[in-house]
Amino acid sequence: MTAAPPAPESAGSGRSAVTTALRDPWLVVGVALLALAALASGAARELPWQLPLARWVDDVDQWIIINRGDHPLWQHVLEPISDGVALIVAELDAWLGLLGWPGVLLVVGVLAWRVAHLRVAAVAVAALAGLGLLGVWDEGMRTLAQMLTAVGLSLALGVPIGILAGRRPAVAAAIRPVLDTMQIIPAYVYLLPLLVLFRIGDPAGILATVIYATPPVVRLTTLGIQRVPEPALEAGRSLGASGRQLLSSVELPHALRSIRVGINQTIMMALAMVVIASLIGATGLGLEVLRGLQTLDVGRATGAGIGIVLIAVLLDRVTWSAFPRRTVPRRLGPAGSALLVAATIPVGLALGATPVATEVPLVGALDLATRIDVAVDAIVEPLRPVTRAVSDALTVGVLRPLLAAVLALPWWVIAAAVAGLAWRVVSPRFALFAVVATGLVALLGLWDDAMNTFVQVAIAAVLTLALALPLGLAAALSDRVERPLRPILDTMQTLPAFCYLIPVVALFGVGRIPGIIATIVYAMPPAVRLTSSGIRGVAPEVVEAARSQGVTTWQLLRTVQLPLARPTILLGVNQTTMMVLASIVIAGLVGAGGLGGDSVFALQQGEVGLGVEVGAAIVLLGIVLDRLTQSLGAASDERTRAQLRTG
Amino acid sequence: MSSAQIASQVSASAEQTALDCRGLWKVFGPRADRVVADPELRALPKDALRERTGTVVAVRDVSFRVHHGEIFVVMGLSGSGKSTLVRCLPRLIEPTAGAIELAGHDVLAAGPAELRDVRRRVCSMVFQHFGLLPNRRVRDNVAYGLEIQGVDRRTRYARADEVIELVELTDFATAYPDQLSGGMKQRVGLARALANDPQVLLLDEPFSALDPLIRADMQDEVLRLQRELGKTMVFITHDLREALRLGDRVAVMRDGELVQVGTAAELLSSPADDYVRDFTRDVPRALVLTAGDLARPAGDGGQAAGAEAIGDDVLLREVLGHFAHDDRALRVVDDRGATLGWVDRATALSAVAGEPAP
Repeated sequence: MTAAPPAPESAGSGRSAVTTALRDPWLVVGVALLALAALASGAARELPWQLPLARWVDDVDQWIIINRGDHPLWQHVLEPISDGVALIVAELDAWLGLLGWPGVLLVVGVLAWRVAHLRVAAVAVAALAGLGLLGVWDEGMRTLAQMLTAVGLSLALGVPIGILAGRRPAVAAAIRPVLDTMQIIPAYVYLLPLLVLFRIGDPAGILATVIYATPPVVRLTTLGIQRVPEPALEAGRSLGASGRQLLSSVELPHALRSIRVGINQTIMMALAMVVIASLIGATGLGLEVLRGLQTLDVGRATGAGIGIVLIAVLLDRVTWSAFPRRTVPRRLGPAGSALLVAATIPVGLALGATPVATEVPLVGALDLATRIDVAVDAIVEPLRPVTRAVSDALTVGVLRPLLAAVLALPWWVIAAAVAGLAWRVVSPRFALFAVVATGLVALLGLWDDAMNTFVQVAIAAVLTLALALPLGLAAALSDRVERPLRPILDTMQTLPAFCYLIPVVALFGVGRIPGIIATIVYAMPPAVRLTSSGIRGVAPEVVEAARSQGVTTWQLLRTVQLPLARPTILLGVNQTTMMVLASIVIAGLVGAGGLGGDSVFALQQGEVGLGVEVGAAIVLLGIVLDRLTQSLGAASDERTRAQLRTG
Repeated sequence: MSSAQIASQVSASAEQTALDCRGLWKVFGPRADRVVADPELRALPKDALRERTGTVVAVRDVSFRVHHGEIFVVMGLSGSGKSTLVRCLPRLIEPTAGAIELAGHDVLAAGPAELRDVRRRVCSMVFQHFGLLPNRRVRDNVAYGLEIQGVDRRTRYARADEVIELVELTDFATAYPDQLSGGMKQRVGLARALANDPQVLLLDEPFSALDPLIRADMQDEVLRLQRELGKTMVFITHDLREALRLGDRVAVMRDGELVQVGTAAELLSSPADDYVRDFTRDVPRALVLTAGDLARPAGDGGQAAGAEAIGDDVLLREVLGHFAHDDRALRVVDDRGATLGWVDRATALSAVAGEPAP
């Protein structure tokens, strides 16, 4: 491709599919007619009939409450699962309690040293010490026991499924849509069925975490196994390796890197779930954060939040280093290491029984919780006028008028508009789905809350992109911007959503605006990153060819880099939108209202019927948003390719 | 080579056959076996067949025998089916039809256990892209085949060190594959194949990914190993020079079929068709043919028994050097000193010209 003066068709293709859709005459006319009809007739905003889903679910729930005691499904399947999980957590928690802080530090330190190396052991011990010093030792051990159980179950489930899918394309094809759907469903939605099946408590929280956290390790194990180089497999086979030998000596070692990334992501997702799982009765640090957020006790939430991150660091570092790229011969073999670790347990127990173990030293003297409170106040108070101004401006200037406008329209006008867009951008079939989905939300009686959430999502997504795209552009064009930005983005991307809620609540209090602001911070990194890597990823020979024709930087960007980076950037738009939705829903925790607020209410009050309705509405909204934003990328991808062909 | 000659050679060497491949077919695509079964479809050329049935013929009715201790080279351009052919032998690719006998094992009839046993003990393969395991040191890569067989660590390391020494990598036994050059990696591949002490080595373009100079080195290595260990080898290559240099016999493959099977001298002096002729036209005879290839029985007794003797592996180039200043015929002897025949000036010159001997 050369940088010839822009051909006539490239002018038209510079516009997105949305613009194209909006310029479509019949669509605009159709929407206008509908709106006019609505205004003229003052059409009934209320539906004559509502889908009594909540009542049905509540009936089922009642039936379950009455019959769970003697129904075989509970007797033989669900209760044993629940009891098993509860037992594992209780055992782990009890052992951690018996070890006390000196014993835990010793045993975890030795374990980390043996499975990884000394540096990792030091990090692990430091993380544990931090938990103690923050004054959240007991809650931390509770959370650690839950995380070990949840992550262990996720891996025990996910790695074998991933291996199977990696080896058999049919299995991979079968589970792909399931994994894709699971990825766009916000965490809350997983809680409800578990609440119905298992009642409130730790097992429900842990199983929800397992379901939420398993997909990445399945996905990455599959990928790793699929990508084992054919020559290595062939060599193994030619030497007469059996299926199992091939797996253990060729496939797993090659896939290890990918599996390791999967384990890492699974741990991160499990930790992201800690706070949310406390809504259905999981105890520990998550509950501390939740209480802290809901009572505006920022010190408490921050301490517990840091505690969760410390546990994340601990689990992450140890598992990461436990799978070295190469087998390092050691003086002490695996058997010896296991023996050594086993031998430290009695020592740890003895230490745990000493009087020193009853209380973590220095906690009282340091009193980090109070110090955090003081520090937060010192930072927040001077900023208060600014944050209040921002908050008011957003509320009065954007949020309220927009929401009022959306709510003034009858639901079917919006449904028609969404369907028209879906028709243009995706397919007629999806337009039908969009109509059904929007109609269902209305029939469920959740229209106003759904629109509330939708408006928040729209505002947050637009603001996120408005900030992220220029930043990504700057990062792509200048190494001076990119270099300091990269580590910041790396860190931001690994932190779960609730981490952003804590400081934002400290600054902005509770309500819709803090939810939107935390969401913007949370969802920005992937958009920045994908914009930057999309532009930097444009083939250097194409850029060189354009340069040789004497383009200016701006021309290069406009005619070559942006068009070619478009698919990647639009992928960023899709990801951002989905992260925004997940985060806005989570912001229901801090009073953002909408569907998220309904979820929190339903979960905390045990309103199962309402919870299922809200969950369904969130999933429907998620699918529509996902497909719409995804198709923008696909459509433009085709156009870029067509352009390259003609170019 | 006439068919009568082939027949006599076959019956004489039947007992020494290491590999016998008969009527082998590999057809890719839907319902491939019907193509082989149907006499009309069998006869169709590749393109017509693909158009009609959607199948692609990679190996078409291939038959050949490899004797014990022989280097049998299959030479063909890319897409000729040679890599598919070699993968069919240990059933890394499942053949569509035919019969394969590897050191007494009927490979196609073998169940999973016997097939594993064949792969573990009878034949070993060397790959173009090495197929080394990056997470294992050289020694563990070489010992891998033995590990799979359940050989204990001490025994397999001892055996691995032996073959590592054989391929002259002793100093690198504890290195990782990514610390080695391409040539060294392929020595590891070779050592891994040798560690099982197989009767037959299958080499699939083992040196095609290497630089020319290293390639020549590795070819010497193969010749040396074959001399020292007497292994039977099936060697796949797209490089005619390599084929002629290494092969006791060379099979030329085209569109899945064997066009001609013969020694280097036979391919050069009597190509089976224009394809082989075109192929061999630019091969510098002087660098390929040896005195042994040119040796002919004494004609009119003009050659004195006292004529100067040369080994049968001396290249034609050296022979020409002799005739440059001496036109008396040379006596060709094998490595035990027995006379194989004579070479005279006219024979040598017409061989260089690529013409039949006078």
